[in-house]
Amino acid sequence: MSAARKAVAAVLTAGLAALTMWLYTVKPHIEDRLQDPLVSKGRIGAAVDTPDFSVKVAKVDVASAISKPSFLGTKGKVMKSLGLFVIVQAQIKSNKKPFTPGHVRLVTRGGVAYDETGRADLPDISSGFQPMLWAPATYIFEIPKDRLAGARIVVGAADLYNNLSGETSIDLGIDGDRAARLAAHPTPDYALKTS
Amino acid sequence: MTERTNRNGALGPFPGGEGPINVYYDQPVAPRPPAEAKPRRRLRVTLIIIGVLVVLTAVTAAAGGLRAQPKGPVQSVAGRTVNQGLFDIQILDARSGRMKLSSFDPVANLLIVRMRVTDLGDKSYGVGSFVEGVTAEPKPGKYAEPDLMDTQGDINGQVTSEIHPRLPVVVQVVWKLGNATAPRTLTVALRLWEYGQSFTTDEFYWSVTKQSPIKAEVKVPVRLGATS
Repeated sequence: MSAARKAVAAVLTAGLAALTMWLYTVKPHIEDRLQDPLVSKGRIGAAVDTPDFSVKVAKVDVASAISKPSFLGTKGKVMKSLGLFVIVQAQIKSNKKPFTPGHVRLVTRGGVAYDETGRADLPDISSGFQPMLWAPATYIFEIPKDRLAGARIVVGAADLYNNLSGETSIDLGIDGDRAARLAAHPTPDYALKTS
Repeated sequence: MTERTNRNGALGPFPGGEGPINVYYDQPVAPRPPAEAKPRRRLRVTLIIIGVLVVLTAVTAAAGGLRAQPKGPVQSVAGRTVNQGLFDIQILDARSGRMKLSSFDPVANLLIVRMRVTDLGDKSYGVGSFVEGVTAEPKPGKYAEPDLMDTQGDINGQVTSEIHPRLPVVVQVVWKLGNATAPRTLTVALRLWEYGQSFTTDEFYWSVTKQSPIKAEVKVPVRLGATS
């Protein structure tokens, strides 16, 4: 065996040994998402239906601070965000029986999902929605400034879900340019209508 | 002279001895030439192998690969950021004394530790879930769990209950001391969040339990006699 062949064999051996060690660290990831709900996709402005409920996103606002009106018309508390508030105004209707939305989240690029803000001073909507009646719902999220582009809002059902539950995923129509514009000049003081 | 050998020698000769089948098995085999000893060459190969091993070990050692791995929890102090798996945590300060958290609460003997928490995961976690991974270690190996209800998150001085990915939140973790006095230096033990698959479903998620190993121990000086 020539020296060159020996060198090639040595490199190959080392490579195979390294490959073995790498293979050892690879664990099977069975992520076939058997238990995920069935997702209906859509865009802002259009009604997106599942058998149980329908969602229509009317308007999206981006703000750096939110103010909440207080009694007697005085200026209420102003809440500043470290990032951005995303205020999604939607209409929801049930299709079968009284319905309570749940697992509401803003999914940003790379699948990073943001639940509703959780600010103690911002109201949670917990009301149910009735069959055949569109009713308004406002969801407020808080995200870092660089996560706006391509955001989608996902609405599911509040009850424990299974692989036959429905979920709507609605593209908020914020492309890169618009995201940059909104992030650079968010509404400085968004006044929340409901108290 | 040819040396006849039978490959099936162990089984004995085939019936029929010199029959036509055995033609294939009873081939004449040339005697092996005596192996020529090359002690110098062998020595050189051995030396090269030893040399390569020495060089590899030296490179590994130079890169720090032979240094002893730290055993047990990472030791840290307040102000330094430590990683807990799912969260990055920077302990800000600790204070203790008889005080009330909100205007409607009764005055109680409390120990409060503030920490800046950054969620490194890909979804939001409640402050309540985060607190599962935090405990105090008054004596080595002895743990005291914080009060879940009084612990709260804070962004710009406003209360929040959620920790969102990459949006830092200051979490105020509260221990109710009762009649005990707080130590001058508190050790906060941070449990390790682990990423794994659910036992019953195909889901992968981060989790921490009271049995999780301690990832870091952070020493923080306590300001005694605080009133708010």
